[in-house]
Amino acid sequence: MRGFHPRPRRRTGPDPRRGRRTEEGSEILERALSLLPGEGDVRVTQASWTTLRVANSVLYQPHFEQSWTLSIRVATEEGRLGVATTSRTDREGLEEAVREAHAAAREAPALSDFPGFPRASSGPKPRLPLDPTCGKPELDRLSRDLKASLGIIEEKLGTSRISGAVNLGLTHLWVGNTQDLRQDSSRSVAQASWLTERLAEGEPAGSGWAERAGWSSRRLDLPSLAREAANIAPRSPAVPIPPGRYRVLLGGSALFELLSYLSWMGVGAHPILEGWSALARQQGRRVAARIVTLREDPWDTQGLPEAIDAEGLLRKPRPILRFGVFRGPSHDTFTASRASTRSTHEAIPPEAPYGNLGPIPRHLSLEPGDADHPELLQELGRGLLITRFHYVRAVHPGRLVLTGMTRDGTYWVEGGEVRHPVQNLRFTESVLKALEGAELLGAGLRGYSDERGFLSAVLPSLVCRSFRFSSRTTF
Amino acid sequence: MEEILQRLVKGALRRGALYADARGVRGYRAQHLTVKNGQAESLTWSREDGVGLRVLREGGWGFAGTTCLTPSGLGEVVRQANSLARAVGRVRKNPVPQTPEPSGPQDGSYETSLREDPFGVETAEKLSLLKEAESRLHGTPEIKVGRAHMNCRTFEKLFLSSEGWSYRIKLTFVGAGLEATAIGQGEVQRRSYPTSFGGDFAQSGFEFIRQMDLLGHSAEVGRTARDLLSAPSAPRGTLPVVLGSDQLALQVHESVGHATELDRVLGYEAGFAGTSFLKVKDRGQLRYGSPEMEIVADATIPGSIGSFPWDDEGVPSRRYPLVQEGLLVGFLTSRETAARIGDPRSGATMRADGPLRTPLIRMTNINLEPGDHSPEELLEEARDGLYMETNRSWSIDDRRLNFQFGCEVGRRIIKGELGPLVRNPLYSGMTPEFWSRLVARGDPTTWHLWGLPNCGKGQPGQTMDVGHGAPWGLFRDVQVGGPA
Repeated sequence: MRGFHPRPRRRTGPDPRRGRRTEEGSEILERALSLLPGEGDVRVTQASWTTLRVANSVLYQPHFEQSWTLSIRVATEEGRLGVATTSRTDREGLEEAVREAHAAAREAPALSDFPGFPRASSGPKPRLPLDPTCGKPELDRLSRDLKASLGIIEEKLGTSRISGAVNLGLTHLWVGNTQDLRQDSSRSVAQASWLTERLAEGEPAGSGWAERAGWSSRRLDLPSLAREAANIAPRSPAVPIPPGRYRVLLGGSALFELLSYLSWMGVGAHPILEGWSALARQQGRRVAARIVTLREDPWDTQGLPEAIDAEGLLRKPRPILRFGVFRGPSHDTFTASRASTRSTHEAIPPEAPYGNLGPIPRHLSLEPGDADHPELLQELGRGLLITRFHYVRAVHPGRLVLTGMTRDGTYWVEGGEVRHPVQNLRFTESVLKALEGAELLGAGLRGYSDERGFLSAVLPSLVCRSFRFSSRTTF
Repeated sequence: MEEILQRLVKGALRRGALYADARGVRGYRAQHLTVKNGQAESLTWSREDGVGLRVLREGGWGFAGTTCLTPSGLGEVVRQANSLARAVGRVRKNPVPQTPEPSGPQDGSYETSLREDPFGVETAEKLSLLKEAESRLHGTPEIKVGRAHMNCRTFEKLFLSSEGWSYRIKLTFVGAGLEATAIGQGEVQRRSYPTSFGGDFAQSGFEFIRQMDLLGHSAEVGRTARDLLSAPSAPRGTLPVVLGSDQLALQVHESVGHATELDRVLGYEAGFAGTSFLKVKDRGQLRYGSPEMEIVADATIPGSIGSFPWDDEGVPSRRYPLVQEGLLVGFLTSRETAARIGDPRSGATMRADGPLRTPLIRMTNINLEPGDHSPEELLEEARDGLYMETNRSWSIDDRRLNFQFGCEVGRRIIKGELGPLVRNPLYSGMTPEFWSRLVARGDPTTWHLWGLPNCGKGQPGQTMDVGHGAPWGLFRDVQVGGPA
């Protein structure tokens, strides 16, 4: 296991970093639990989110939101389940939500194999790092950083169009159930991206991209990220190349897109138990090259660490692919019971639309190699350097075949050197085939996530032997 | 709620805002019911109340929203919206023009017309319908996953602006669908009804779901999923293609709807959603497709989830052309973007997916108008080609040019008639080139107004209800081919 992992330690009282909110959330949780007519569990989430968005080189439509959400799941004795969510935390609101969850449960088909709600996990909760300023951003500092970043990009690119976003969030989750489980956890999310477009005669003539995610707003380092995105933007016109199979060096952003699909379409218990995942019946078998070791690592402080799952069980690291061998799906209490195994503590909230998804790994961590960027290019030799994919969708879920476009920095590499930008290509390729052809991993690691940190990853760059491109566009 | 909105707008003006509008949503209720393989996968009831405040200062926009309707929660909204708008000016000033709309609602009101309140129908009855429909999907052992779902939503939205416009609307949306997944012979195949990704949706009462006749269609859905397992692969090559209404609706969505959003055209969505191959100067000049291509934006159609009386800036909804006889003639606009290109009026497309989000330019009902060909005439004109319906995968580049769409079902067209089933059909192309090959549109019997409740856009992301009417369409020389 690499990276810094905090030593679990026993909690001895309210977390002083969260103060009054801890008490308020716990009170709401207890009030809701006291209203349950039978068995059930409750999640209380308090969230603050800020998005500072740059468009056309100005800060545009900045956004702040604050919310309370309760998710209540009740079960009847026959194993009938109903779920309700509400933004109301007053007694009347809680009563209404419990009533509706119970009404849905009464009508639900019985689940004869429902195992009930879990008891608290044994062992101490890890104390994970937290940045409280993600809940109330330091606007003065961020404004200065944004202004400086715009200046850096314009200095490097000249006439340009700059886009980007900074997403900062602080969430507090309290979970309890009628088996006396009580857990709570806080999480900070900081995610930023820059898109730099060089303009020629007023029109985009090449773009670059850089992104980063982590638990700390200050660690985003917006100016250095801006510099990186500006360096990636091509300085010369892109050259068309024919579709076909090429060797590729996938940057972290591109790899994150592919592994996201592996997570929710491949590793989740639902697709595996139902038989339509490409990883169904593959447990214990090699599905990727030996160099690929992929973990679910909710403790990795280079990513977005998270202490508990939606059932209140303590999250913990586990292997997904070890030396290319698939080690098993993600499970919550229910799917684990069905599969006669134990929960991997990767439950997600039971309400729609999450409930349909089922348990999935949300904190991916790919073991790095030891190659620096020039060595990766040298290994690639002749092929494509891919920065980012766009609009990726599954063409054939059963084989994990995806399609999508390259975007914001696609280069032709020859003799281990970047030669020229190429026009964007559409890929149609299986994620597993790409991982089977993994040849070399970079040493550098970076955190990636979607804008709210639902899915995150810590990834290096990766050289793949073969990647199929099925068509191309004109820019 | 009215008092809360007034307080927010007044608070913003007191802090120096040039303009402010506030939206409140109360009584939002949603019910999501999914039955999978005879079991309840997700029976969720949701409730959300909240408010959002948008303020305009000299520097630019700021927005804040909350579900905390306490004095301190509301005070925080006013503070944050103003702080953010001020921050815009500190980074770089961004003066925002707005069209001077001639009129807005003064205490306007509107309510979805419905015959049967979906929340008046017992959950037991809804579940009974879903359970029976789902069970009929399993007429064959190859069906490993059957799923039947239903969504009902209702909410009251209130709007108030510092220009004195105000309205109150109560909207109700319903939708349902079926899905069968067959596994065998090394294949995974899925068939949906009436279309994929959740089914069809309308602004309506429960009568819309009753009319869908889920029970009457489910057995056939299961059989088709099974038959796809052993069907031959779709042909590859360049062929005449007839697209069914639901797939052509998605083609309109991706390659016309998004491409004509003026915020994308002007570069305001470059970072995430992308831009557009269209330029402002293309209006009235660019040939988007063949003369058969007639596309309108129409937010006034009763019963569609893309319809509304006023948008989230208070501008009255309307109908206007986007493409006429293949020529680009319009964009989807807001007060700000319309003013930026010198248009006198907004296209009334600004909507947010809830009180905690700022309004954006969103599609309304973007429709390809019907033509005059019967289905038989379209197939006869295609002669030898491929028919495709019901989307399975969709992807398009960030300027809305290069696309690739996969469908659930394909059928060979042989000598002007629908022939055998083929599996994994997909087609690809470049937007204007593809539309230039539209040679005939189906008549009104082939036209359907689909409700898509899952259009994604924005930072932070928003999921919007949009509508697309489309007939069957015949395209010449389309690149088709199955996945590797």
